[in-house]
Parts: sequence; C-alpha cells; structure tokens
Amino acid sequence: METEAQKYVWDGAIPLQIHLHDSEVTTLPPPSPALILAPRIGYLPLLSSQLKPFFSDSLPPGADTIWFEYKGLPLKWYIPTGVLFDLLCAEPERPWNLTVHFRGYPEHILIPCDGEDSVKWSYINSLKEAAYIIHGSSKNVMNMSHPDQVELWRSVMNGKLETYNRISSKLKLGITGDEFSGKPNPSPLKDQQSVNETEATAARKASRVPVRLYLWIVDKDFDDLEEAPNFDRWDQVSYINRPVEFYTEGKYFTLLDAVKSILPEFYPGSLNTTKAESKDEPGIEPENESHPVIKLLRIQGIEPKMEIPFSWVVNNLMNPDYFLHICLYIKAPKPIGT
Amino acid sequence: MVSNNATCDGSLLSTDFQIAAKAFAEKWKKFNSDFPEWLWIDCSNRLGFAAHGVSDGYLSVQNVFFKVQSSLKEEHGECSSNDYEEPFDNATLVQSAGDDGHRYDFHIVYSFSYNVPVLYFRAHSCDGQLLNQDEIEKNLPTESAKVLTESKWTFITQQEHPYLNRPWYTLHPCGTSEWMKLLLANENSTAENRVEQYLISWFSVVGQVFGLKLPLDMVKSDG
Amino acid sequence: MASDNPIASRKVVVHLRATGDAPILKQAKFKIAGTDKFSKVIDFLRRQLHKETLFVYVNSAFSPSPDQLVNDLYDNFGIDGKLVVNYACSMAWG
Repeated sequence: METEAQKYVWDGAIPLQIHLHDSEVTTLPPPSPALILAPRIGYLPLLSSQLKPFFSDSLPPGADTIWFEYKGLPLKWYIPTGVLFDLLCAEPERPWNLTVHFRGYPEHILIPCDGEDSVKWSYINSLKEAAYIIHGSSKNVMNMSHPDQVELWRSVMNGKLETYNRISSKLKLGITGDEFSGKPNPSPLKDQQSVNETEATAARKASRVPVRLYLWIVDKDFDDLEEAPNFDRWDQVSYINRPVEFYTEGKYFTLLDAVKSILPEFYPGSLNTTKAESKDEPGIEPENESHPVIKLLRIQGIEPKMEIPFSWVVNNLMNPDYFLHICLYIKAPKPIGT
Repeated sequence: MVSNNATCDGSLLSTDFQIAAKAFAEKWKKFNSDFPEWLWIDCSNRLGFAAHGVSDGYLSVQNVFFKVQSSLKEEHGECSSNDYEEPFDNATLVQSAGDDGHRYDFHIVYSFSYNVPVLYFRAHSCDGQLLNQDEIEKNLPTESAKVLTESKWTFITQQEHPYLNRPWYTLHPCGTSEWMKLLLANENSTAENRVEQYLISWFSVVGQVFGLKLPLDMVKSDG
Repeated sequence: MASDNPIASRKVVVHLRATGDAPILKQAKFKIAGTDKFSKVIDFLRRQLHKETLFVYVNSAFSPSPDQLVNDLYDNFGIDGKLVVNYACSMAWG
C-alpha cells in the first residue's frame, strides 16, 4: 500500500530548462530553451520524445543520440533524474539549466543508450540486483510474466504508482520491520542469501537493503550550500554500490548507522562514533579535526535527520528499482597522494 | 583466515575475495606462464582516506592478445571447408603482439550485491582504439556469439566499472552463485580449499565466453 | 581412425550424472573416443535432453572447455575407469 511519502516521491518533478548545445544549432535565431517537468524517478533519455520535436528543426543532418550535460559534465542517464539533481545541485537550482545534445555521444564517459529499450533494461537489471540483495535470488524478477514486466516498466515511465504497487507487490521485495539493530560484523549473511525459508526463519531475521551511495568528498569547508564547489568530472564522485545489513529486531538502527556501515573507512573501529553532523559543533575533541563531517545527506530532495529509523527511510524514499539512492557530501581532509 | 561459512551456497565473502584472488593469480602464473600475469590492484585508498583494515581492490590482467582471423585476411590453415563465412570460433591467444591482434583487459571485481566475482573487460585494436560490441562479438567463440544475439540485455552489456567510473563490458552475474554452488559441491574439500579454488572454478566458466582455457594442471592442483 | 598407439585409440567410459532438476538419462554410461573433444559430450547431452542451455561440469570443480580432449580429462579426473560428467539445467548467464 502506498504511503504518503511514496506519493510525494512519485509525484516529485524537477523543472528543467533545456538548451540545445551551441554546436548543434544551425538556425537563426537559435531555438529558445525548452521548459519541461522531469519526474524525479524518471530517466533523462525518456524526455527525448518531448524534446526532439522542439529542437529537430535546428539540428544539423545526422543520426540522433540524445545526451545531457550540466555545466560541462555529461550526465549519466542510468541515474534517476532526481538523484542527479540532488547530487549535482547542492543548492537547488530552479529551473535546472541543462544542455541537451543530439550529436557526438561521449561514449568513453557514458554507457551507450539506444533509447527507451536501454533505459528499460537498465531499470530491470537494477531491479534484478535489488531482488538478489533482498532475497538471495533474482528469480522473482526473471520469472515475471512478459505483460507484467511491460506494465511495471510503463508504470515507472508514466509515474503510475497504483499500478506499480500492484505489480511490484508480486515480487515480494518488501523490507519488513520498523526497528532494526545493527549487525555487529559487516559481512554478508549467508542465511539471507538462501531462498530456503526454513533456514532464513531459523536464524535471526536479518535484512539486506539495496543502497546506491553517491559520495562527494569535499576538502574545503563551506557553510553556505551556494558556496559548495561544482563537479566537472565524474571522478570527483565516489559511487558505492553496497547493501546495508541489519537485524530487524533489537537495537534501533538509524540512517547514520546505515551510512557508517557503508563507509567504515570514515568511522574507524566503532559503532558508537561521535556525532557526524556539522550542526552541533560543541564538544569536538581535537582528534575529530581529521574526522570526516557529513555536510549534506540528501534522499529524494529531502535532508532527513540522521537519527531517524533507516527502515522508514527505505520504505518511503526508495526508488522504483528498490534501491535507496543516497547523495552524500562529506568534508574530509585532503586525500593523501592525489 | 578464511571464514567457515564461505562458499557453501556458491557465493564468496567479500573478506575472502582477496585470498581467492591471490591464490588464483599465483596458480595462473605457475601454470600459464605464457600469458600476462594477474595483478591485484589495491583500492583501499580510493576514498582518499587511509582505510582502517578494509581491503578493497580488484584483480587485473592487461594486454591479453586475441589474434583475429578475419575473413577479409587470407585464411590461416586449411580448416575452413565451408563456402559461407565462418565465424571466428577459433580465436587464438598469444602473448606477443600480433599484427592484427586485439588486446583485451580483464578485471575481476567483487560484487557486494551478488557476493560473487564479476568479470569486466574492454578490448582495443593494435592502434589503441577501443572496440565496440560488434567488433568484440567477432572475437568470441561461436557459442558465446550466439548467446549474445539471443540475450542482448542479460549476457554482456556495458556497465560502469565500479572503480574506474567508465563504461566497461561486463558479464551479468545473477546466475553465478547458482553454478558456482555446483562447482563447489565437492565434499572432500575444506572451506579453505574452496576459497582458494573459487576463482579457478569460476574462471573455467567465465573464460569459456572468450575461448580461454584453463590448463588442467591448474584445475587439479589443489588436490 | 585406427592407430597403433593404445592411448590414442582408447575409448573412455563417460558417466553422465544429473544434478538438481535435470532429467536423468535412460542410458547414463557410454563410450567415447579419447581423441574426441569434450564438445561431443555436450552436444550429446543437448540432443538427449532437448535443451540448449546446459551447465556441464567435472569433478564438482570446473567446467571443461568444449575443445578439451576427453583423453586429457580422463587422465586428470578419471576415477575407477570412468570419467564422471555432471550436468544441470541451469543457465550460466541471465
């Protein structure tokens, strides 16, 4: 059943102002930018059918392969649009000014995209991966009937939450429980990987949650989001695709606990690490100077408190591929040797 | 140290991956000395932070040569008796640079989602140009090329390399644990054995996609 | 081809063993020339089972390359005068 938050996520859209790249403008005056609402859970190439008629008259001859850039950075089309926005605009820019290209696809930077089919399969493969993380098997997704698969994809593409919930519920990928306890030792749980029910219920109920974390490590401090530096290369973002594991009973498992479990490098040797939030500064010990500080954590455009239960975050803010996409800005001392 | 519960269900613990990788690389060097070596690429520092006992990295071999027997070039040997064009099902591997060789780089990367190793690869021609999927398909044995045609989206696709942030080709891993379970079912082997044997067994399947054969001595040598 | 080399002309007994939900063959043992390639075993199984995707492996340890010689496999992994070959219906990729 849908939650209020899920509805907000699905209805969420980003106003885009899209300019055709100068090098592809062959008409005078140049075409005016296109204004378009892009669903947060959508993918940029899916806007193609709306954008193409708008710009096609201005394009030079040749075959079209659509791609987008923001301030010189080619945008990865397989990252949901909302996630790109959260990641690349520390200070939200509205409308978001993007540049569209129909020529000169940067194939060494971006995975090729043959239109909707590529996007669909990227989504299905992501869903399969999520199913594997949750169940230890992708079978539920692979054995989905063809009509269901088509309808599920259309529901994502067209933002039809009800249809999506009806079909995706058949996949039985729900993450249960509202309170969790951290798993003491962050290693894969064998009992979760087995589809064997008896085995799974015999052990303590544990969950693996699909998480994609986009991490930007900033070495200079900023107080105002407007001062946050810009990306110009994807190498500046660390992408970490690692499930979060926890028990569904016992100690309360927070969003901060989840971040710590993905980034043990930043939280040496303890689960009771000191505050990672920058807002409450008092009581910083000298050694914390070298500790990383979370400057910004954003999921679906909101900045949830680090103390809220991770289960709430997952169940309400995940994307339709069953992954929770987290954008994280961390201030850390300048890396050694880079 | 090897975890006890490793590998019974066909998966490999992240903490055992490096052990398995080292065992594989050593045996490869011993039994495949004509080929380039597999090297462990350490990425523990990739977040720019001294890792606290967290080992992170992947296994890499570069410049594996595939001699292309293109139908446009003169036929090598007399094996082709068909009058239609024979697919390149006999790509041969040599270490030294051939004139028309394609060079392959293979990376074995651990997937935290699937808890199995995943093969990433790319290929370039002798002038350094990266090959596209059609060109790669021509280097593959007939069998793989057939699977590739039948399963365009679920066999070999381009994905982002988890460490290099660039598109690389990859073999889809969602069936891996299932067949690895079969290859690890040997009751006589200990948990430790299974970890050390893991990548060898795994590569016996994955290598076939490219027509790469493991020497039987390498497969056998754990016994 | 007849040969006076005993190894070259040797026939190898192959024992085909089903695993998982793979169907069991009526005749699970047969003889094959040692000089044949392993692909012959795979093709035989495919024909018998009417399945294109089979996972064929030896000694619960590895999946032989189709162009491996049966003789070599037998010499390395033969037990009690036969080569045990397992097969399952799972797909390797997907």
